[in-house]
Amino acid sequence: MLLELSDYKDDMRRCIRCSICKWPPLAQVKSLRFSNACPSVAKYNFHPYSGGGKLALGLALLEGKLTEATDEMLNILFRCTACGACDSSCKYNAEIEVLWSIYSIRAHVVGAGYQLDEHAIITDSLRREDNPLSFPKSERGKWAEGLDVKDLSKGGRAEIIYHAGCLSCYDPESAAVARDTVKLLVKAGLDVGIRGAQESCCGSSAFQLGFQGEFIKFAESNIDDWNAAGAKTVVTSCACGFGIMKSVYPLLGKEMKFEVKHISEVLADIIKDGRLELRKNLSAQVTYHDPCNLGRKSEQYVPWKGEAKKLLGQFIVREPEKIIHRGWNGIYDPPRNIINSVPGVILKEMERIREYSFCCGAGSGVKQTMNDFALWTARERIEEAKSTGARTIITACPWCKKNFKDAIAELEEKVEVYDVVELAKQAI
Amino acid sequence: MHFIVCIKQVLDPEMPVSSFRIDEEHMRVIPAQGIPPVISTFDENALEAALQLKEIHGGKVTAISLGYKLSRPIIKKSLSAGADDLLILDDPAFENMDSFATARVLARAITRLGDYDLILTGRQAADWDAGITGQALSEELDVPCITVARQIQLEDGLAIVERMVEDGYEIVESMLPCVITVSNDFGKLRPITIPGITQAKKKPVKELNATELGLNPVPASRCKLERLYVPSRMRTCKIIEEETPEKAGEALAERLHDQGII
Amino acid sequence: MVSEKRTALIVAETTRGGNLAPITLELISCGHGISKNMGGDVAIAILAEEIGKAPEDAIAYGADRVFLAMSPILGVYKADAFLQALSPIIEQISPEAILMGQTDMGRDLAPRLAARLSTGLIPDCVDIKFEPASGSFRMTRPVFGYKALADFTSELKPQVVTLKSRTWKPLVPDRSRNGEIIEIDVSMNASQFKTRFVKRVKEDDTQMSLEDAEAIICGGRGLGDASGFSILDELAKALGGAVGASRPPCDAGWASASRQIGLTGKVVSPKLYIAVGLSGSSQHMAGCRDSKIIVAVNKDPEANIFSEAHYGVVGDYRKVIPHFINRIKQIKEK
Repeated sequence: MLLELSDYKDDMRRCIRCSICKWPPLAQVKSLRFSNACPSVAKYNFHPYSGGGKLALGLALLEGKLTEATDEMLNILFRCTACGACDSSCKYNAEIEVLWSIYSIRAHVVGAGYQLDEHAIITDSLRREDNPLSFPKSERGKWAEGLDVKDLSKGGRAEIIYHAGCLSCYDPESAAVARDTVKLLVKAGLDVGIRGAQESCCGSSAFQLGFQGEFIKFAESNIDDWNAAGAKTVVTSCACGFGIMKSVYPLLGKEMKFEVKHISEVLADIIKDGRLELRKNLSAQVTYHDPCNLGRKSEQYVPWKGEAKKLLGQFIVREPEKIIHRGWNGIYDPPRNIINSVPGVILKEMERIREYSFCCGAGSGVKQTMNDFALWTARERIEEAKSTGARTIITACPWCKKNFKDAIAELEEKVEVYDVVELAKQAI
Repeated sequence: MHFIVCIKQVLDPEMPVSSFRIDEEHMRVIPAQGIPPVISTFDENALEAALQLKEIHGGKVTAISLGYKLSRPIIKKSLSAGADDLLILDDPAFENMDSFATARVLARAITRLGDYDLILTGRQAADWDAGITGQALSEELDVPCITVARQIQLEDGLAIVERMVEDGYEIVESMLPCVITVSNDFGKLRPITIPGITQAKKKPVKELNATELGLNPVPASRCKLERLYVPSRMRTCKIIEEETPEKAGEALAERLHDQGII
Repeated sequence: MVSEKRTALIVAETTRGGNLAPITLELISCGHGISKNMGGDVAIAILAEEIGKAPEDAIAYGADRVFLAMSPILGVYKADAFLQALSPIIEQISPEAILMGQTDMGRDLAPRLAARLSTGLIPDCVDIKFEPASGSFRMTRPVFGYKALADFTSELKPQVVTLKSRTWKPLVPDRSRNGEIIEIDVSMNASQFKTRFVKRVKEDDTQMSLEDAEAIICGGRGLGDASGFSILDELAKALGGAVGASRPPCDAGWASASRQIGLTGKVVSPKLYIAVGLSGSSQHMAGCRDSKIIVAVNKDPEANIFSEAHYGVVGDYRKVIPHFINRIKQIKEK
């Protein structure tokens, strides 16, 4: 099993409540207004909502000081998008595995039979219809109707499999972006195929909510399908999926005969080597929102198992050496390269970017079960976007885009949101 | 009409094979992290049956669950699905009872609930797979029992049941009240919705322990568990490998032919 | 009435026409083994409307005493009627053990019988031994969807068990064996029971029965959708076999329930069992493990089916099976 709470005991014990998990790395804080890293503690202002706070809860559960999970505790554990900002910030100070501890606490609590009622809808939907959105499996392939692309569910082979992701299959707006994506790939001469109605969820929501058993089933099934299809590359639009495929799928011990890439990587490549030319001058000021799962959470995670020794009673030395995952190796440049390749477009960076980017608010089931919190977080981020002077947000994740658009519609703001693929398409 | 559904909390029968581990010393399955317990599959079919009958005939559905340290969110799924009230029987004494003892405790709780028309439960629990409790319950209450139902109609004080048999189905009638055990062929439990969850929060939940039922100590188990273990399988599979799956299919046919199987 | 002998009592299942169903011969064989260990004999209760050669066959296959209860009401299995008819037989014999098959009848009747006799029941036994030292039985049955085995003992008598079908081999019939045939007086009428049997309907008879097929192709969730079964139908035709399904395809409506093989479906043991898109979950293997040769085609190299199969191909069945079928046809033409 991937998530065993006892594996993170040392991590949880070493939290000294320095509170760095609540802020971006201090050298990167540029203003007081946008100095929060963690949406949960920024909104609810109560220490347990922060990364370190959840670790304290987890330690209490592990050591038996808390013997049951009350409704309030479940609220604290699940009112969190698992964005990993706490994890990334903590690594500047204490190198504690905050994010994976949070995953393990959730798995521990779920295994003991506690869950939010709303999560039952997500897991039921995954079991019955292979997606967390309660849409029927039979309609999974509808988004690609009429699209001129290889349908691998009918047999055949392709070098590249395009994994649309659940939101792109069922949400009309995201589906339109997915169709454009496929057309761009085909136009650039790539041998791409889709799995149509046989595609199933990446399992990321199951994993992040602690439903390990469900996640393992989806992940193993996808790996088998992609291996059996003989593809060399799997390209996805779903940033959540991408993050989990890169960071967690390799931990299952199954041979992955393919490489996982995000659409922004592929798109940046084909623009760079000229297979796709962006000629139209779009003349706009935009800002780019780094999705958590594309950025800091897509670094491959290697759980550390070894011996930790104390030198001079104080310094911890680990054998073998522990690889610290700070999120520096996520996908940050490809989307920016695409934006910079569009003539006339000026990119204005927000204050919290790259591995210390501020979450959009939709992740880990929050959008589906706590929409109020998701929208609050989105509003915060939109404020930050507006503060750059840009009126257009570019992002690379359908969930981020959807959440921003919902918040904008509510506020009736004059801000536009586009996926980086849409931007590229408009510039052809 | 009053429908009673007995639901059992079990470890997830669909957990990945790698997570199934047994603690041989204590003769129990080790619950795995990240795999929540569930309502036994066939009990969900029984709940669906009760809800459908309520939609047609009116009345109420009472769900009963028996065990130790039951997960309230998991059991309350019955209320979210549409049951009207829930009776939870939770006591350390209930932890290791066999089906006959379980039936006796359930029978005692059911008689306290007052009048009922139909008791529904799954054909067998998705952990111990015994398939005894429903029938034993009918004997305790001295009512008829029809098993493995896939369709139920109620008419003039009778239950008309279509039940599964080997090469088809049977139609059997029973006077009410009776116990009916339900098979998966009845149909899956309806999906849980947000309105269902919201309404569930207002529905009454009663809890009773063994002493309050007047059954402390509980009846002794009739058989004694001596050993619980995972059998080792000694079979090595010859995997036929070729460059393409198409070639592998052909090679498989040839191999089976060589071995005289085809 | 205390009997001097220790007896294993079998509750027989008969076919239309009054002959013994195959499971009954397996039960007698098991009872025979137990009675040898106990130093006792084998009795069999045959409840039927008409009997052909059932009593003689029972004796030839190993029973010592045959108790016959005949009534038109016993023509079709009904729990209430069978419980009533068995009661005087059990009282007369006072058996150590009562054996039934884990069949439609056994699953329904055994729990009620055990409850009525205030005794224990171990269903779906794969092994039962009499232990002379303790004077009790040690029984083994699969649990947790067939992922584990559990051993039980009990002090209560009679011990009721149902036996997993096709686990015990019937003995070779010996027509020279002697036995007693005792007729039990049964007078019952339908109005005394609270249940009524209306009718029995056969379903899905377009293919040969799974139990009789020498080759079975079984499809699982990995087929992806109902169209997968047309590929399996073609393979079945090429091999002269039948098509079965694990539970997920039946629940999804891709195959009818009567094709289901597994823990709550049919138990089969053909010469050749080909599992396609089937993970080989323990609940399913419960229904097919004793097949002579098991072949698996699955995209997952770590699927459980590969630890149960004799031969396997890892890959997409839609690519493997059509070529498999073609090659078979070529081989058969030669």
